[in-house]
Amino acid sequence: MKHAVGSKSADLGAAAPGRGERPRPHVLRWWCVSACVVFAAAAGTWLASPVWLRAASDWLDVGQPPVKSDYVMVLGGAVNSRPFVAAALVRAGWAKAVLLAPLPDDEPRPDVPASPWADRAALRASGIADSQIVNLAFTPEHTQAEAELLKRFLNEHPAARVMVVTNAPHTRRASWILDRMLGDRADRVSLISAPADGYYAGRWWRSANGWKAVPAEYVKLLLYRLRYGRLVWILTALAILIAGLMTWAHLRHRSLGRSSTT
Amino acid sequence: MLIVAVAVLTAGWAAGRWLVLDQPETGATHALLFDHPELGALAAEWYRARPGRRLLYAEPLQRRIVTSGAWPPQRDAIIESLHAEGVPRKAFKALDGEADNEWAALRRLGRWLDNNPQARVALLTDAFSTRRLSYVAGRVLPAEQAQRVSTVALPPPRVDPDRWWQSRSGWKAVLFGWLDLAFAYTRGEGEVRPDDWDPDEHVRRLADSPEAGS
Repeated sequence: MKHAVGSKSADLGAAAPGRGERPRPHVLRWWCVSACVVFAAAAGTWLASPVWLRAASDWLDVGQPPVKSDYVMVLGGAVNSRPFVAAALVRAGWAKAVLLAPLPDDEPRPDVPASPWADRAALRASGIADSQIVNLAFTPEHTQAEAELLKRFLNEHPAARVMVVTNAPHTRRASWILDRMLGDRADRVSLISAPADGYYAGRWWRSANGWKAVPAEYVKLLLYRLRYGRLVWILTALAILIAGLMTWAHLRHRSLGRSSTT
Repeated sequence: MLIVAVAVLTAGWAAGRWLVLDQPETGATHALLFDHPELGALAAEWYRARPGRRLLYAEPLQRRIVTSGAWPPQRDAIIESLHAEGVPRKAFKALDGEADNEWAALRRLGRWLDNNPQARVALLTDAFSTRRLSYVAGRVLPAEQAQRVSTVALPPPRVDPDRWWQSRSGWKAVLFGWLDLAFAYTRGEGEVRPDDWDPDEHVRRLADSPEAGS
C-alpha cells in the first residue's frame, strides 16, 4: 500500500500494520461495520422482493375453512368486511346464529360506522334476523377482552362450537390469544378469514392500508407476546447472556493487556 | 439510569410530537374536514370560534357498510352531526365527487381553489396526521395553492399527544401515524381496494379450499 508524502501520511504509514502483524482493532471494527452494512443492504433488498412481502402477509393468515357450528362470532372493527362474511356463513348454513358484543349505553355516532352498532346494522342489511343475533356479556375494547368474552360464553355453553371471523392478517394474533385464553375449549373454535380491508393481500405494500395492516400486525404480535406471553422472559435471559458475554470479553481483554505490558 | 430514563421519555415525546404540524391559519376562510372520530363536534367548535367561515368536505369512497344500505352516507351523517351542534346547513359545502383518500381529496380541493382564488383553507385533521397531510398538500397542490392551505391539529380521540405512551390508543395512533407518514414519503399515494368482493363467493371459496374437510 502506497501513502502520499506528508507528515500526517507518514505517521499513518508508520501506524499501519506491517506484513505478519495482526491488524489493529479499529481496522477490524471498520471491516466488521462495513460487512454488516453491506449484508443488511443485501438482506433488505432480498426481503423487499414481492415474493417475501407476499409471504409476510400469507404467514399472518391462519384462517381455516368453515365447519358446521352453532355460532359465528364477529370480532370488533373492520365493519365493511367481518359482519358481511359472518352473515354469509349463516346464510350458507355453516352457523345458526351470530355472537355480538352488546350495544353500549351511549348513542351511536352516525358519522362514524363503528362496532358494535355498525356490525348489527350490517347483519340486518345482510338478511340476518334479530332473533339470530345473540348478545355477549360486555363490550370489549381489544382482542384480549374479546377472547375473555368468548371464554365466558363457552363456559356457559359447553357443547357449543363457534367460528370466529376476523380479517386475514389478524388471524394469527387472534389464534394465539384464543389458544392462550381458551385452553381446551379452543378445540371448539375455528378462525375464519375475511378479506383484507381496503387493500389487496397479494400486494399489500402498494397500499397505505396494507402498509398499516401487515407491518403493524407484526408489531402488535410482538407486543402481545411481550406482554402476555413468555417472550419477555426469553428476551430478558438473552439480554443477561449477552451482557455477561460482553463483560467476560471486556475483563479478558483487560487481563490480556495487563499481562502483555508486564 | 436516570439519564437513560430521561432520554427514553424525550425520544418517546419527540416520536409523537414530530408527527404533529399545527400551522397558523392566517385568515382561513374555509376549513376542509378530514376523517376523525369526533369530526362533527370539533368542526362545529372551529366554526363557532370563526363565525361566517365555511366548512368543506370531500366525500370518501362509499364502502360496503354504506352501499349495502346499513349505514347512511358519511356526508349526510356529518351534515346532521354539524346541524345538531348548531352549524347552519348553508355553512357546509361538499366538494364534487368521491375521494378515495386524502391525496384525491386535496386534488379536489385544488380544483376548487382554482375557482376560488381568494379562499384560504385550514385542513382540519387528527394531530398525528398533520405532518403527513402537509406533505401531501405540498405534493398535490401547485406552490401558489399550497401557500393558501394550512394544517390544523385536532386533538386525537382519547390520547394526549404529549403523553401518548400512557394509553393503548396512543401507541396505536403513533404507530399508525409513523407507518402512514413512511408510506407517503416512500411510496406516495398508493392504491385503494374498493369493496369489490362478494361475501357469499368468499365463503364458497373458503369451503372449497384444499384444507376444507381435513
